[in-house]
Amino acid sequence: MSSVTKQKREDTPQPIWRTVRLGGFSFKLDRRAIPVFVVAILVGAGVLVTSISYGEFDITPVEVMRTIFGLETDDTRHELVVWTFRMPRILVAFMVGAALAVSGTILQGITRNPLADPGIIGVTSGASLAAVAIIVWFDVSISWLPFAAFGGAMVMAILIFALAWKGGSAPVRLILVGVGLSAVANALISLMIVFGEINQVQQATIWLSGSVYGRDWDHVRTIATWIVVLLPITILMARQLNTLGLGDDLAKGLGLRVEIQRGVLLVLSVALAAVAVSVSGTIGFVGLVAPHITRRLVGPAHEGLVPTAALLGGLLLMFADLIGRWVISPSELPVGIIAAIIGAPYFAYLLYQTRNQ
Amino acid sequence: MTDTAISASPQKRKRSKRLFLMPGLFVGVGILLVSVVFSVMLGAAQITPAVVVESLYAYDRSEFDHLVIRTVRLPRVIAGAFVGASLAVAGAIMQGLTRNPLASPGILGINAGAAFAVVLAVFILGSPPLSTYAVFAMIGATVAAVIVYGLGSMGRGGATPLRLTLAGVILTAFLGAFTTALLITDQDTLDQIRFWTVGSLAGREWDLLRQTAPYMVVGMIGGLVMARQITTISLGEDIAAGLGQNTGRVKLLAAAATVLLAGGAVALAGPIGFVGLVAPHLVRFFVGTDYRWILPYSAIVGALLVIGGDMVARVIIRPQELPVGVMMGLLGAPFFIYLARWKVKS
Amino acid sequence: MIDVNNLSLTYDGNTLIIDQLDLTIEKQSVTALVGPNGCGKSTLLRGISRLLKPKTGSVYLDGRKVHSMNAKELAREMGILPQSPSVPEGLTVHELVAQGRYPHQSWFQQWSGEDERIVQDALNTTTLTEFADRPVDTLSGGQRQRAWVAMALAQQTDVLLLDEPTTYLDMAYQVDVLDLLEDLNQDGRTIVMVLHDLNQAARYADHIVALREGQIVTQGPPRSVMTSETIQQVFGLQTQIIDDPVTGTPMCVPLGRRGRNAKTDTSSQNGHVSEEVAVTDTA
Repeated sequence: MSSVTKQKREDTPQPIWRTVRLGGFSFKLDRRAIPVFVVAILVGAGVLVTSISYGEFDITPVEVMRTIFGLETDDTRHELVVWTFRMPRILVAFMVGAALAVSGTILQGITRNPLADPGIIGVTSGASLAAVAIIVWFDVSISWLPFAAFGGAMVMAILIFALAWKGGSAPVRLILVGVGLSAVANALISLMIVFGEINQVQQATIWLSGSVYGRDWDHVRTIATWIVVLLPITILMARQLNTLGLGDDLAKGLGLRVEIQRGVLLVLSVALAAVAVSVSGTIGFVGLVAPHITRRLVGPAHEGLVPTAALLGGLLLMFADLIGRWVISPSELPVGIIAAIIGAPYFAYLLYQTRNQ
Repeated sequence: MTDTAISASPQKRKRSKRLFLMPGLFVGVGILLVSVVFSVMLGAAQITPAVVVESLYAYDRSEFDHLVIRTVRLPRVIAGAFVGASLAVAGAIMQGLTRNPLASPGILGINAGAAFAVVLAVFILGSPPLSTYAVFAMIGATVAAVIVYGLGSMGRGGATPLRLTLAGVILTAFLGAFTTALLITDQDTLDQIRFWTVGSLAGREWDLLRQTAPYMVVGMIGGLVMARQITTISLGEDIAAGLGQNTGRVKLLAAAATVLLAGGAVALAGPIGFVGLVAPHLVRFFVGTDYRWILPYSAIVGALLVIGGDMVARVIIRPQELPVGVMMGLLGAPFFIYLARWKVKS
Repeated sequence: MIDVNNLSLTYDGNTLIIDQLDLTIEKQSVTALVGPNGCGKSTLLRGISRLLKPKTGSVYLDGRKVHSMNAKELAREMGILPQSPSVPEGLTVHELVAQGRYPHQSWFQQWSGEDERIVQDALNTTTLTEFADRPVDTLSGGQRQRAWVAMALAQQTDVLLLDEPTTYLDMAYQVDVLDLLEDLNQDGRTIVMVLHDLNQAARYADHIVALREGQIVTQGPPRSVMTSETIQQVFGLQTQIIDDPVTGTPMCVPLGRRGRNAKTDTSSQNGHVSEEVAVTDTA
């Protein structure tokens, strides 16, 4: 194929991405992503330290840092508070936020719909149904909760995909079927809420609004394992996500096997959402808002979007957790509620910003 | 010069369809009345149709059966009819206005507004009577509608379907979070309110009906009066404006009608989903796209749906009863999925 | 060379949009698919490009069955540009054109120096280099279309399928795009495009395929297809054929009511019924 040149080759401007090359491996990354990522890490560290230092038992940030790095501290109780109580829950908040953000990013990419988030496609309602059933109906120990939630999410996801499949998995149908199945799940949840014993119902309500209270290192381990596996895979599939964004026809024309790739990505998204929900209950909005914010900062190319969104989502939720612990202290408001209270106005702001488009 | 031969039958079919619409309405009302009677018959105490009719015409206060019918069952069923009709018409108007087949009072935040107001009331006032619920629900619904409409109308083009839906989603999530926060912090409120929040017709009496009916009636009349304008605007705002319609005013008035209808319904029975979504779709199958027919038929179908759903809800787990809101969700959602799978083209 | 054999295409499994169609597209030719709305020209294009699975029949690219080929393999040889494609918000021209490299990339080699060079070439060819960092949705219709063509260029395929590449464009841009496609063809590419405008087809295509109701009415070089009889048959339109004063290719001028009246006037004046007057000799 001869390359066609017209006139003289003009000075080519620098592309807005960097190519990452390691040996034979090459990878392109939007240039904007790097500074944003770095800033986010710094902010994250700051929020982490602040969050740990705040609580019924105040520890100064300096003390926190010393405890983290294993240096001598004033009070030996610091170690207990920091390592046993606060660190795990804050880490869980971070990872849940990250997982939800990535799940939402994937969903928005494969449905080409900026309104998609794990809640909308019904995965979280499947998890909720299973969890509430365990809390209110079945008299089983709540250690089953994470597994039930995960299982519920998976079953729901399979149902959605199966019902929406009609020669293909058109994004619009996926969303609509998800909405419908969510409604069924929610009706059943309502049922249990109405007829259940009030103490259990209250417990269920708390779980339903998403909380990281009392989360320990086991939870951290669970979610970390999944993220370590799923996040890199997602980043590697960034190209496919980019191409899917052009529409099914063009993507097929470019040689993408649309149905298979969409299926794989959906599984990734569901798995991430399921793990998040199984550890902390249903938290909305992060999966919706984090990708949006990130996209405005680093652009729509998924190579940079996915990791940065993860970071931002984690940040958001850590921050929400801090607020939740602060606002009606010594009680705490579940982090999911704070996420919605922050997320909704942001979305309204987004509407305002794009009002003339 | 024709791409495809235009067959003569669509014309013929249209004419014959129109012929059926008017009498169909009367038939519908008739079916509605019959269903009311049946619903009244249903219950813990068995009552024959004869007794039902008797209780309406020759009311004898000392007769226990008559008492049950007049004070317990009839108001409940009539309330169900009002709620169903109002929600269905509200949903139909919204779908026409936003040109979005998924629009319904729930999606546009009205239910969330009403629910939040009621929870707030219970949280602050302890355990107020149902009628207080109604007032607060109405206020909450109105405020929510104003916010959603305002949020959705910002910017060029005014209240587009997408923006209205988005605004509704935002408000629902926001208020939902606050509502849950209140419910978590106070177990008593939770206990009080949980039955109401899923939508129920249990214990609805004439008093409450009397208080909320005016809103719904006004809304219904308003909607019917505007039916033609709604049909025009459902074709597209540019087209409507080109035909000389004052689209801003139409949208505002139609939205007002929706608030009255949905607010009144929620005040009466709590937030019930899906009727507003499902009924207009069912109706459109038979009636076409003219809102002068869609609205009244939706009212009838909506009423039938709620009455029917309530009947099922009352027998299915005898002697207990299922809240009708849950029933609607369980019935409506599969239908919605069917719609999504078979009727949405990719 | 593309061979279409006995192809039947349908969207819902029952109504045949394309009915047992046979067609051969020569290598390095410019073929235009024309026909009235609903005749199936877009559908045919989708069938050739494998976007639509055939109900019967098959499509062969250089002897290989298109539907049995590996997706990426096919994408390296045949590129398609659908009608009104959508672009994610904020995607820059450079990023869009880079997408064209997808079929040449793998997990490991996600972005090579070669890829970068080819993208630059594509941008140069379509004179979009100065717009490289602009979001696609901020460009004019003509520039946007050129960006899509640039993407198809980056794909480096021998065959380019385009579905109505000029519809919705300003006239200047229509000509722009068609001239660009002509250049690409001179470079050795095979172009198949669905065109709405008959005169454009006559001007730029080597081979015109006229479709009606899922079947080929006639096909051939513009000279032989562009006759009043054919146009009447395919489009139901009365026309007069003249030579394009610029390129010499046939050009059809619709009669309309004025034309028809003028004709009957002249015919009544002349005292006999005349056929449409052919201004040129048939080549």
